[in-house]
Amino acid sequence: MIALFASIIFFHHIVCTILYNAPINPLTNSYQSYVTNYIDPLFAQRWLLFAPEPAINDLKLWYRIKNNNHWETWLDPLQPILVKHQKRRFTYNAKLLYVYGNIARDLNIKNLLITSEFPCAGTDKICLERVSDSLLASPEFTLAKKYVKQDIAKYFPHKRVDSLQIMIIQLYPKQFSERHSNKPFGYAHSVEFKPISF
Amino acid sequence: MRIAVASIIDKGVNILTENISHPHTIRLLRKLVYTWFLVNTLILLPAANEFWGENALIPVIDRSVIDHNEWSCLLSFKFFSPYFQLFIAAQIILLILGILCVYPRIVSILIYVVTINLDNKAHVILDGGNNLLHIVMIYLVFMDPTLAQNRYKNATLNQVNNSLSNLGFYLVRLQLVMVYMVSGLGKVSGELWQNGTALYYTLNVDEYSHPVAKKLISDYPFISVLGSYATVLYQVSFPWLVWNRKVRPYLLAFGTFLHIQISFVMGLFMFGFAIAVVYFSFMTDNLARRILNSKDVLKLYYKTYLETRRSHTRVAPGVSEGERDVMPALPGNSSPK
Repeated sequence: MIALFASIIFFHHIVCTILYNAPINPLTNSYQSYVTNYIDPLFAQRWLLFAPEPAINDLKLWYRIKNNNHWETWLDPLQPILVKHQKRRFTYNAKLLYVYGNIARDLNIKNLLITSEFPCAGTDKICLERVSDSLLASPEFTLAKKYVKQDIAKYFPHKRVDSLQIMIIQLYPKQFSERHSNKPFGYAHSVEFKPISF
Repeated sequence: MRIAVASIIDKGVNILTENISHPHTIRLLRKLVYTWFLVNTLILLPAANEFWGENALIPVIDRSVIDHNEWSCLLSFKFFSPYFQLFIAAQIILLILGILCVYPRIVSILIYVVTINLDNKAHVILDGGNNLLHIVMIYLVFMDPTLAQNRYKNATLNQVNNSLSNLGFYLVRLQLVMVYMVSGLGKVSGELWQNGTALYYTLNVDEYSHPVAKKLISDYPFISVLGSYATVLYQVSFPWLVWNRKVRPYLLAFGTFLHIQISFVMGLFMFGFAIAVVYFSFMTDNLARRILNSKDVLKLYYKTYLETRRSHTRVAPGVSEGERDVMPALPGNSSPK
Protein backbone atom coordinates (compact mmCIF):
# COMPACT_ATOMS: atom_id res chain seq x y z
CA MET A 1 0.00 0.00 0.00
CA ILE A 2 2.84 2.36 0.94
CA ALA A 3 4.73 1.46 -2.19
CA LEU A 4 1.65 2.01 -4.33
CA PHE A 5 1.04 5.43 -2.80
CA ALA A 6 4.70 6.39 -3.20
CA SER A 7 4.67 5.17 -6.81
CA ILE A 8 1.61 7.27 -7.62
CA ILE A 9 3.27 10.40 -6.19
CA PHE A 10 6.48 9.62 -8.07
CA PHE A 11 4.68 9.01 -11.36
CA HIS A 12 2.53 12.13 -10.95
CA HIS A 13 5.57 14.29 -10.23
CA ILE A 14 7.49 12.96 -13.21
CA VAL A 15 4.57 13.42 -15.60
CA CYS A 16 3.98 16.98 -14.35
CA THR A 17 7.68 17.83 -14.72
CA ILE A 18 7.72 16.48 -18.29
CA LEU A 19 4.55 18.37 -19.25
CA TYR A 20 5.87 21.58 -17.61
CA ASN A 21 9.04 21.40 -19.70
CA ALA A 22 7.37 20.24 -22.92
CA PRO A 23 7.12 22.76 -25.78
CA ILE A 24 3.72 24.30 -26.52
CA ASN A 25 1.56 21.68 -28.24
CA PRO A 26 -2.15 21.21 -29.07
CA LEU A 27 -2.80 19.77 -25.59
CA THR A 28 -0.98 22.50 -23.65
CA ASN A 29 -4.16 24.41 -22.78
CA SER A 30 -5.81 21.36 -21.27
CA TYR A 31 -3.10 20.66 -18.69
CA GLN A 32 -1.16 23.91 -18.34
CA SER A 33 -3.09 25.42 -15.46
CA TYR A 34 -2.94 22.30 -13.28
CA VAL A 35 0.71 21.55 -14.06
CA THR A 36 1.83 25.14 -13.51
CA ASN A 37 0.01 25.36 -10.19
CA TYR A 38 1.70 22.15 -9.06
CA ILE A 39 5.24 22.84 -10.32
CA ASP A 40 5.63 26.61 -9.92
CA PRO A 41 5.61 27.05 -6.12
CA LEU A 42 8.55 24.72 -5.39
CA PHE A 43 9.80 23.11 -8.61
CA ALA A 44 9.82 26.01 -11.10
CA GLN A 45 12.43 25.35 -13.76
CA ARG A 46 13.71 26.60 -17.11
CA TRP A 47 16.42 24.65 -18.89
CA LEU A 48 17.13 26.47 -22.13
CA LEU A 49 20.81 26.98 -21.19
CA PHE A 50 21.92 28.80 -24.37
CA ALA A 51 19.16 27.17 -26.47
CA PRO A 52 17.89 27.54 -29.11
CA GLU A 53 20.57 30.20 -29.68
CA PRO A 54 23.42 31.25 -27.38
CA ALA A 55 23.95 34.85 -26.22
CA ILE A 56 25.09 36.83 -29.24
CA ASN A 57 25.46 40.35 -27.92
CA ASP A 58 26.68 42.38 -24.98
CA LEU A 59 24.12 44.70 -23.45
CA LYS A 60 25.93 47.47 -21.59
CA LEU A 61 25.06 50.59 -19.69
CA TRP A 62 27.47 53.44 -20.37
CA TYR A 63 27.47 56.93 -18.99
CA ARG A 64 29.25 60.22 -19.52
CA ILE A 65 29.59 63.29 -17.33
CA LYS A 66 29.44 66.98 -18.11
CA ASN A 67 32.13 69.05 -16.47
CA ASN A 68 32.62 72.80 -17.09
CA ASN A 69 30.24 72.74 -20.03
CA HIS A 70 32.15 69.89 -21.66
CA TRP A 71 30.93 66.32 -22.16
CA GLU A 72 33.60 63.78 -21.37
CA THR A 73 33.98 60.39 -23.06
CA TRP A 74 31.52 57.51 -22.49
CA LEU A 75 32.47 55.19 -19.64
CA ASP A 76 31.62 51.53 -19.06
CA PRO A 77 31.25 51.10 -15.27
CA LEU A 78 31.25 47.32 -15.62
CA GLN A 79 34.66 47.13 -17.31
CA PRO A 80 36.85 47.05 -14.14
CA ILE A 81 34.72 44.24 -12.68
CA LEU A 82 34.82 42.33 -15.95
CA VAL A 83 38.62 42.55 -16.06
CA LYS A 84 38.85 41.28 -12.48
CA HIS A 85 36.43 38.46 -13.28
CA GLN A 86 38.44 37.40 -16.32
CA LYS A 87 41.61 37.41 -14.24
CA ARG A 88 40.20 35.31 -11.41
CA ARG A 89 37.07 33.25 -11.89
CA PHE A 90 36.19 32.14 -8.36
CA THR A 91 35.28 35.50 -6.82
CA TYR A 92 32.06 37.42 -6.18
CA ASN A 93 32.77 39.53 -9.27
CA ALA A 94 31.03 36.89 -11.41
CA LYS A 95 27.78 37.63 -9.59
CA LEU A 96 28.38 41.39 -9.43
CA LEU A 97 28.34 41.29 -13.24
CA TYR A 98 24.84 39.81 -12.98
CA VAL A 99 23.69 42.52 -10.54
CA TYR A 100 24.91 45.47 -12.61
CA GLY A 101 24.24 43.78 -15.95
CA ASN A 102 20.65 43.34 -14.86
CA ILE A 103 20.25 47.12 -14.43
CA ALA A 104 21.02 47.60 -18.13
CA ARG A 105 18.74 44.71 -19.11
CA ASP A 106 15.78 46.02 -17.07
CA LEU A 107 16.25 49.54 -18.41
CA ASN A 108 16.34 48.24 -21.97
CA ILE A 109 13.14 46.25 -21.44
CA LYS A 110 11.43 49.30 -19.90
CA ASN A 111 12.54 51.47 -22.80
CA LEU A 112 11.17 48.99 -25.35
CA LEU A 113 7.92 48.77 -23.40
CA ILE A 114 7.44 52.53 -23.21
CA THR A 115 8.34 53.16 -26.85
CA SER A 116 5.86 50.48 -27.92
CA GLU A 117 3.19 52.04 -25.67
CA PHE A 118 3.73 55.51 -27.19
CA PRO A 119 4.65 55.05 -30.85
CA CYS A 120 5.89 58.54 -31.79
CA ALA A 121 6.72 59.85 -35.21
CA GLY A 122 10.33 61.07 -35.46
CA THR A 123 9.29 64.74 -35.59
CA ASP A 124 6.60 64.67 -32.89
CA LYS A 125 8.54 66.47 -30.18
CA ILE A 126 5.73 66.47 -27.62
CA CYS A 127 5.27 62.73 -27.94
CA LEU A 128 9.02 62.09 -27.72
CA GLU A 129 9.22 64.31 -24.65
CA ARG A 130 6.41 62.32 -23.02
CA VAL A 131 8.23 59.03 -23.73
CA SER A 132 11.44 60.43 -22.32
CA ASP A 133 9.75 61.78 -19.18
CA SER A 134 7.94 58.58 -18.40
CA LEU A 135 11.19 56.63 -18.81
CA LEU A 136 13.12 59.02 -16.57
CA ALA A 137 10.42 58.62 -13.90
CA SER A 138 10.53 54.81 -14.03
CA PRO A 139 12.05 52.74 -11.17
CA GLU A 140 14.41 51.14 -13.72
CA PHE A 141 15.92 54.51 -14.64
CA THR A 142 16.08 55.55 -10.97
CA LEU A 143 18.08 52.39 -10.21
CA ALA A 144 20.39 53.05 -13.18
CA LYS A 145 20.95 56.61 -11.95
CA LYS A 146 21.77 55.34 -8.46
CA TYR A 147 24.25 52.87 -9.94
CA VAL A 148 25.97 55.54 -12.03
CA LYS A 149 26.15 57.97 -9.09
CA GLN A 150 27.74 55.26 -6.95
CA ASP A 151 30.28 54.61 -9.69
CA ILE A 152 31.13 58.30 -9.98
CA ALA A 153 31.53 58.59 -6.21
CA LYS A 154 33.85 55.56 -6.26
CA TYR A 155 36.08 56.45 -9.21
CA PHE A 156 35.88 60.28 -9.35
CA PRO A 157 35.25 61.31 -5.73
CA HIS A 158 36.64 64.83 -6.13
CA LYS A 159 35.40 65.62 -9.62
CA ARG A 160 32.81 68.33 -10.15
CA VAL A 161 29.91 66.89 -12.16
CA ASP A 162 27.24 69.20 -13.57
CA SER A 163 25.12 66.63 -15.37
CA LEU A 164 25.26 63.08 -16.58
CA GLN A 165 23.86 61.10 -19.44
CA ILE A 166 23.11 57.38 -19.60
CA MET A 167 23.15 55.20 -22.68
CA ILE A 168 22.30 51.58 -23.34
CA ILE A 169 24.43 49.97 -25.99
CA GLN A 170 24.13 46.55 -27.57
CA LEU A 171 27.43 45.34 -29.04
CA TYR A 172 27.28 42.48 -31.54
CA PRO A 173 30.46 40.47 -32.15
CA LYS A 174 32.07 40.38 -35.57
CA GLN A 175 30.45 37.89 -37.94
CA PHE A 176 32.30 34.59 -38.13
CA SER A 177 33.41 35.40 -41.71
CA GLU A 178 34.84 38.75 -40.54
CA ARG A 179 36.63 37.39 -37.49
CA HIS A 180 40.11 38.39 -38.71
CA SER A 181 39.13 41.99 -39.55
CA ASN A 182 40.35 44.89 -37.42
CA LYS A 183 36.86 46.01 -36.40
CA PRO A 184 36.44 45.93 -32.60
CA PHE A 185 32.90 44.53 -32.97
CA GLY A 186 30.36 43.70 -35.65
CA TYR A 187 27.85 46.46 -35.11
CA ALA A 188 26.32 48.42 -32.28
CA HIS A 189 22.84 49.61 -31.43
CA SER A 190 22.58 52.37 -28.86
CA VAL A 191 19.86 54.35 -27.08
CA GLU A 192 20.92 57.62 -25.45
CA PHE A 193 18.69 58.97 -22.72
CA LYS A 194 18.07 62.62 -21.91
CA PRO A 195 20.89 64.21 -19.82
CA ILE A 196 19.99 64.77 -16.19
CA SER A 197 21.42 67.13 -13.63
CA PHE A 198 23.72 65.57 -11.07
CA MET B 1 0.95 -12.18 -19.19
CA ARG B 2 -0.93 -11.24 -16.02
CA ILE B 3 1.62 -13.15 -13.94
CA ALA B 4 4.52 -11.38 -15.66
CA VAL B 5 3.01 -7.94 -14.97
CA ALA B 6 2.31 -8.90 -11.35
CA SER B 7 5.90 -10.07 -11.00
CA ILE B 8 7.25 -6.78 -12.38
CA ILE B 9 5.01 -4.76 -10.02
CA ASP B 10 6.06 -6.96 -7.12
CA LYS B 11 9.72 -6.43 -7.98
CA GLY B 12 9.17 -2.68 -8.26
CA VAL B 13 7.44 -2.56 -4.88
CA ASN B 14 10.30 -4.48 -3.29
CA ILE B 15 12.93 -2.18 -4.80
CA LEU B 16 11.04 0.84 -3.51
CA THR B 17 10.33 -0.31 0.05
CA GLU B 18 12.71 -3.09 1.07
CA ASN B 19 15.96 -1.16 1.34
CA ILE B 20 17.38 2.29 0.85
CA SER B 21 18.94 2.29 -2.58
CA HIS B 22 22.47 3.75 -2.94
CA PRO B 23 22.87 4.88 0.70
CA HIS B 24 26.50 5.92 0.25
CA THR B 25 25.73 7.79 -2.98
CA ILE B 26 22.97 9.65 -1.15
CA ARG B 27 25.32 10.59 1.68
CA LEU B 28 28.03 11.75 -0.72
CA LEU B 29 25.55 13.70 -2.85
CA ARG B 30 24.16 15.44 0.23
CA LYS B 31 27.64 16.47 1.38
CA LEU B 32 28.58 17.76 -2.07
CA VAL B 33 25.37 19.72 -2.64
CA TYR B 34 25.65 21.45 0.73
CA THR B 35 29.37 22.04 0.18
CA TRP B 36 28.48 23.74 -3.10
CA PHE B 37 26.08 26.09 -1.28
CA LEU B 38 28.65 26.74 1.43
CA VAL B 39 31.37 27.60 -1.08
CA ASN B 40 28.91 29.78 -3.01
CA THR B 41 27.99 31.76 0.10
CA LEU B 42 31.62 32.09 1.22
CA ILE B 43 32.60 33.43 -2.21
CA LEU B 44 29.83 36.05 -2.06
CA LEU B 45 30.42 36.94 1.59
CA PRO B 46 33.02 39.74 1.07
CA ALA B 47 30.44 41.65 -1.03
CA ALA B 48 27.39 40.57 1.00
CA ASN B 49 26.01 44.12 1.08
CA GLU B 50 25.91 44.27 -2.71
CA PHE B 51 23.77 41.13 -2.87
CA TRP B 52 21.59 41.11 0.24
CA GLY B 53 22.04 44.57 1.80
CA GLU B 54 19.24 47.10 2.09
CA ASN B 55 20.97 49.35 -0.46
CA ALA B 56 21.79 46.59 -2.92
CA LEU B 57 21.11 47.60 -6.53
CA ILE B 58 18.73 44.71 -7.00
CA PRO B 59 15.05 45.34 -7.71
CA VAL B 60 12.59 43.73 -5.31
CA ILE B 61 11.38 40.36 -6.56
CA ASP B 62 8.10 40.29 -8.46
CA ARG B 63 5.10 41.06 -6.23
CA SER B 64 3.27 37.93 -7.42
CA VAL B 65 6.12 35.73 -6.12
CA ILE B 66 5.99 37.47 -2.73
CA ASP B 67 2.21 37.12 -2.53
CA HIS B 68 2.27 33.40 -3.31
CA ASN B 69 5.26 32.46 -1.15
CA GLU B 70 5.67 35.02 1.62
CA TRP B 71 7.73 32.58 3.69
CA SER B 72 10.38 32.46 0.97
CA CYS B 73 10.73 36.24 0.53
CA LEU B 74 11.19 37.36 4.13
CA LEU B 75 14.19 39.53 3.23
CA SER B 76 11.99 41.57 0.91
CA PHE B 77 10.05 42.82 3.94
CA LYS B 78 11.34 45.87 5.77
CA PHE B 79 11.09 44.08 9.11
CA PHE B 80 13.60 41.37 8.12
CA SER B 81 15.82 43.10 5.55
CA PRO B 82 18.29 44.68 8.04
CA TYR B 83 19.00 41.21 9.48
CA PHE B 84 20.36 39.61 6.33
CA GLN B 85 23.63 38.82 8.13
CA LEU B 86 21.68 36.59 10.51
CA PHE B 87 20.27 34.66 7.57
CA ILE B 88 23.80 34.22 6.16
CA ALA B 89 25.15 33.07 9.53
CA ALA B 90 22.24 30.66 9.97
CA GLN B 91 22.80 29.30 6.47
CA ILE B 92 26.51 28.69 7.08
CA ILE B 93 25.88 26.92 10.41
CA LEU B 94 23.05 24.83 8.98
CA LEU B 95 25.10 23.88 5.92
CA ILE B 96 27.91 22.63 8.15
CA LEU B 97 25.37 20.59 10.14
CA GLY B 98 23.93 19.36 6.87
CA ILE B 99 27.34 18.25 5.60
CA LEU B 100 27.90 16.41 8.88
CA CYS B 101 24.46 14.76 8.49
CA VAL B 102 23.22 15.97 11.89
CA TYR B 103 19.41 15.61 12.17
CA PRO B 104 19.36 15.22 8.39
CA ARG B 105 15.71 15.85 7.55
CA ILE B 106 15.06 18.75 9.92
CA VAL B 107 18.34 20.42 8.95
CA SER B 108 17.57 19.91 5.24
CA ILE B 109 14.24 21.71 5.61
CA LEU B 110 15.87 24.60 7.49
CA ILE B 111 18.68 24.88 4.93
CA TYR B 112 16.09 25.05 2.17
CA VAL B 113 14.08 27.79 3.87
CA VAL B 114 17.10 29.97 4.69
CA THR B 115 18.73 29.48 1.28
CA ILE B 116 15.55 30.26 -0.66
CA ASN B 117 15.11 33.45 1.36
CA LEU B 118 18.64 34.60 0.60
CA ASP B 119 18.36 33.64 -3.07
CA ASN B 120 15.01 35.36 -3.54
CA LYS B 121 16.48 38.56 -2.17
CA ALA B 122 19.40 38.40 -4.63
CA HIS B 123 17.28 36.85 -7.39
CA VAL B 124 19.19 38.46 -10.28
CA ILE B 125 22.36 36.52 -9.50
CA LEU B 126 20.74 33.10 -9.87
CA ASP B 127 21.42 30.85 -12.84
CA GLY B 128 20.54 27.35 -14.01
CA GLY B 129 22.90 25.84 -11.44
CA ASN B 130 21.00 27.48 -8.58
CA ASN B 131 17.70 26.40 -10.12
CA LEU B 132 18.80 22.77 -10.35
CA LEU B 133 20.23 22.65 -6.84
CA HIS B 134 17.12 24.31 -5.36
CA ILE B 135 15.11 21.39 -6.69
CA VAL B 136 17.72 18.86 -5.54
CA MET B 137 17.56 20.45 -2.06
CA ILE B 138 13.87 19.52 -1.85
CA TYR B 139 14.63 15.94 -2.85
CA LEU B 140 17.40 15.85 -0.23
CA VAL B 141 14.76 16.42 2.46
CA PHE B 142 13.32 13.00 1.61
CA MET B 143 16.63 11.15 1.34
CA ASP B 144 18.00 9.29 4.34
CA PRO B 145 21.79 9.73 4.51
CA THR B 146 22.35 7.75 7.74
CA LEU B 147 23.67 4.57 6.01
CA ALA B 148 21.58 2.47 8.42
CA GLN B 149 19.16 0.13 6.66
CA ASN B 150 15.77 -0.33 8.32
CA ARG B 151 16.72 1.70 11.37
CA TYR B 152 13.23 1.90 12.85
CA LYS B 153 11.70 -0.86 14.93
CA ASN B 154 8.38 -0.41 13.18
CA ALA B 155 8.28 -2.15 9.77
CA THR B 156 5.79 0.33 8.30
CA LEU B 157 7.96 3.25 9.33
CA ASN B 158 10.91 1.57 7.65
CA GLN B 159 8.92 1.10 4.46
CA VAL B 160 7.88 4.76 4.46
CA ASN B 161 11.44 5.88 5.11
CA ASN B 162 12.86 3.64 2.40
CA SER B 163 10.22 4.71 -0.13
CA LEU B 164 10.78 8.42 0.51
CA SER B 165 14.54 8.06 0.31
CA ASN B 166 14.43 6.04 -2.90
CA LEU B 167 11.92 8.38 -4.55
CA GLY B 168 14.02 11.42 -3.68
CA PHE B 169 17.13 9.77 -5.04
CA TYR B 170 15.65 8.68 -8.37
CA LEU B 171 13.99 12.07 -8.81
CA VAL B 172 17.41 13.74 -8.68
CA ARG B 173 18.61 11.49 -11.50
CA LEU B 174 15.50 12.10 -13.56
CA GLN B 175 15.72 15.84 -12.99
CA LEU B 176 19.22 15.94 -14.47
CA VAL B 177 18.03 13.88 -17.43
CA MET B 178 15.23 16.44 -17.89
CA VAL B 179 17.75 19.31 -17.88
CA TYR B 180 19.74 17.77 -20.72
CA MET B 181 16.72 16.63 -22.67
CA VAL B 182 15.12 20.11 -22.76
CA SER B 183 18.39 21.93 -23.34
CA GLY B 184 19.69 19.44 -25.94
CA LEU B 185 16.49 19.33 -27.99
CA GLY B 186 16.27 23.12 -27.80
CA LYS B 187 19.77 23.45 -29.26
CA VAL B 188 19.08 21.06 -32.13
CA SER B 189 16.77 23.63 -33.72
CA GLY B 190 19.19 26.55 -33.17
CA GLU B 191 20.81 27.81 -36.36
CA LEU B 192 24.15 28.67 -34.73
CA TRP B 193 24.37 25.25 -33.10
CA GLN B 194 23.57 23.65 -36.46
CA ASN B 195 26.26 25.53 -38.38
CA GLY B 196 28.86 25.07 -35.65
CA THR B 197 29.40 28.75 -34.79
CA ALA B 198 27.52 28.83 -31.47
CA LEU B 199 30.72 28.57 -29.45
CA TYR B 200 32.37 31.33 -31.52
CA TYR B 201 29.55 33.80 -30.84
CA THR B 202 29.23 32.87 -27.16
CA LEU B 203 32.94 33.29 -26.55
CA ASN B 204 32.81 36.69 -28.24
CA VAL B 205 30.37 38.02 -25.66
CA ASP B 206 32.46 39.62 -22.91
CA GLU B 207 30.34 38.24 -20.08
CA TYR B 208 30.93 34.62 -21.15
CA SER B 209 34.45 34.88 -22.40
CA HIS B 210 38.13 35.23 -21.73
CA PRO B 211 40.59 37.14 -23.95
CA VAL B 212 42.65 33.98 -24.57
CA ALA B 213 39.57 31.93 -25.47
CA LYS B 214 38.38 34.73 -27.77
CA LYS B 215 41.64 34.66 -29.70
CA LEU B 216 41.81 30.86 -29.86
CA ILE B 217 38.28 30.50 -31.20
CA SER B 218 38.98 33.09 -33.91
CA ASP B 219 42.29 31.56 -34.96
CA TYR B 220 41.17 27.91 -34.90
CA PRO B 221 37.59 27.61 -36.21
CA PHE B 222 37.60 23.84 -35.71
CA ILE B 223 37.35 24.47 -31.94
CA SER B 224 34.01 26.20 -32.44
CA VAL B 225 32.65 23.54 -34.80
CA LEU B 226 33.86 20.61 -32.70
CA GLY B 227 32.78 22.22 -29.42
CA SER B 228 29.31 23.19 -30.68
CA TYR B 229 28.56 19.76 -32.17
CA ALA B 230 30.02 17.88 -29.20
CA THR B 231 27.86 19.92 -26.79
CA VAL B 232 24.65 19.22 -28.71
CA LEU B 233 25.50 15.54 -29.20
CA TYR B 234 26.34 15.15 -25.53
CA GLN B 235 23.17 16.84 -24.29
CA VAL B 236 20.90 14.93 -26.67
CA SER B 237 22.47 11.55 -25.91
CA PHE B 238 22.83 11.98 -22.13
CA PRO B 239 19.18 11.12 -21.28
CA TRP B 240 19.51 7.72 -22.95
CA LEU B 241 23.16 6.74 -22.55
CA VAL B 242 23.47 7.58 -18.85
CA TRP B 243 21.38 4.52 -17.93
CA ASN B 244 23.95 2.24 -19.58
CA ARG B 245 26.41 1.38 -16.83
CA LYS B 246 29.27 0.63 -19.23
CA VAL B 247 29.02 3.96 -21.05
CA ARG B 248 28.17 6.02 -17.95
CA PRO B 249 31.72 6.66 -16.65
CA TYR B 250 32.91 7.96 -20.03
CA LEU B 251 29.79 10.05 -20.46
CA LEU B 252 30.13 11.64 -17.03
CA ALA B 253 33.87 12.17 -17.55
CA PHE B 254 33.14 14.10 -20.75
CA GLY B 255 30.35 16.01 -19.01
CA THR B 256 32.63 16.96 -16.15
CA PHE B 257 35.21 18.24 -18.65
CA LEU B 258 32.50 20.23 -20.43
CA HIS B 259 31.25 21.83 -17.23
CA ILE B 260 34.72 22.60 -15.88
CA GLN B 261 35.30 24.39 -19.20
CA ILE B 262 32.07 26.34 -18.61
CA SER B 263 33.34 27.25 -15.14
CA PHE B 264 36.78 28.46 -16.12
CA VAL B 265 36.59 29.55 -19.77
CA MET B 266 33.07 30.98 -19.87
CA GLY B 267 33.34 32.19 -16.29
CA LEU B 268 30.09 30.60 -15.10
CA PHE B 269 32.06 29.27 -12.18
CA MET B 270 29.43 27.95 -9.80
CA PHE B 271 27.07 26.85 -12.59
CA GLY B 272 29.62 24.42 -14.02
CA PHE B 273 30.25 22.89 -10.61
CA ALA B 274 26.53 22.69 -9.78
CA ILE B 275 25.87 20.32 -12.66
CA ALA B 276 29.05 18.36 -11.92
CA VAL B 277 27.87 17.91 -8.31
CA VAL B 278 24.56 16.40 -9.46
CA TYR B 279 26.52 13.93 -11.61
CA PHE B 280 27.41 12.21 -8.35
CA SER B 281 23.83 10.91 -8.16
CA PHE B 282 24.82 8.53 -10.96
CA MET B 283 27.79 7.19 -9.06
CA THR B 284 27.68 3.53 -7.99
CA ASP B 285 27.17 2.95 -4.30
CA ASN B 286 30.44 1.05 -4.10
CA LEU B 287 32.48 3.93 -5.49
CA ALA B 288 30.67 6.42 -3.26
CA ARG B 289 31.46 4.20 -0.25
CA ARG B 290 35.13 4.17 -1.21
CA ILE B 291 35.19 7.95 -1.55
CA LEU B 292 33.49 8.39 1.83
CA ASN B 293 35.86 5.88 3.41
CA SER B 294 38.90 7.49 1.86
CA LYS B 295 37.98 10.57 3.82
CA ASP B 296 37.85 8.46 6.98
CA VAL B 297 41.24 6.97 6.11
CA LEU B 298 42.64 10.48 5.76
CA LYS B 299 41.12 11.42 9.12
CA LEU B 300 42.65 8.31 10.68
CA TYR B 301 46.06 9.10 9.19
CA TYR B 302 45.85 12.64 10.53
CA LYS B 303 44.79 11.46 14.00
CA THR B 304 47.60 8.88 14.10
CA TYR B 305 50.07 11.52 12.93
CA LEU B 306 48.98 13.93 15.68
CA GLU B 307 49.14 11.26 18.38
CA THR B 308 52.54 10.07 17.19
CA ARG B 309 53.84 13.63 17.24
CA ARG B 310 52.53 14.21 20.72
CA SER B 311 53.96 10.98 22.09
CA HIS B 312 57.31 11.75 20.43
CA THR B 313 57.34 15.15 22.08
CA ARG B 314 56.45 13.58 25.39
CA VAL B 315 59.34 11.13 25.42
CA ALA B 316 61.78 13.35 23.61
CA PRO B 317 65.25 13.05 25.14
CA GLY B 318 66.67 16.05 26.87
CA VAL B 319 63.35 17.33 28.16
CA SER B 320 63.59 18.41 31.77
CA GLU B 321 61.13 17.36 34.46
CA GLY B 322 59.81 20.91 34.73
CA GLU B 323 59.15 21.14 31.01
CA ARG B 324 57.36 17.76 31.08
CA ASP B 325 54.92 19.07 33.69
CA VAL B 326 53.60 21.81 31.38
CA MET B 327 52.99 19.44 28.44
CA PRO B 328 49.33 18.75 27.72
CA ALA B 329 48.17 15.26 28.64
CA LEU B 330 46.94 13.00 25.84
CA PRO B 331 43.29 12.15 26.15
CA GLY B 332 42.83 8.80 27.86
CA ASN B 333 46.32 8.77 29.35
CA SER B 334 46.95 9.50 33.00
CA SER B 335 49.36 12.34 33.49
CA PRO B 336 52.67 11.43 35.12
CA LYS B 337 52.87 12.28 38.74
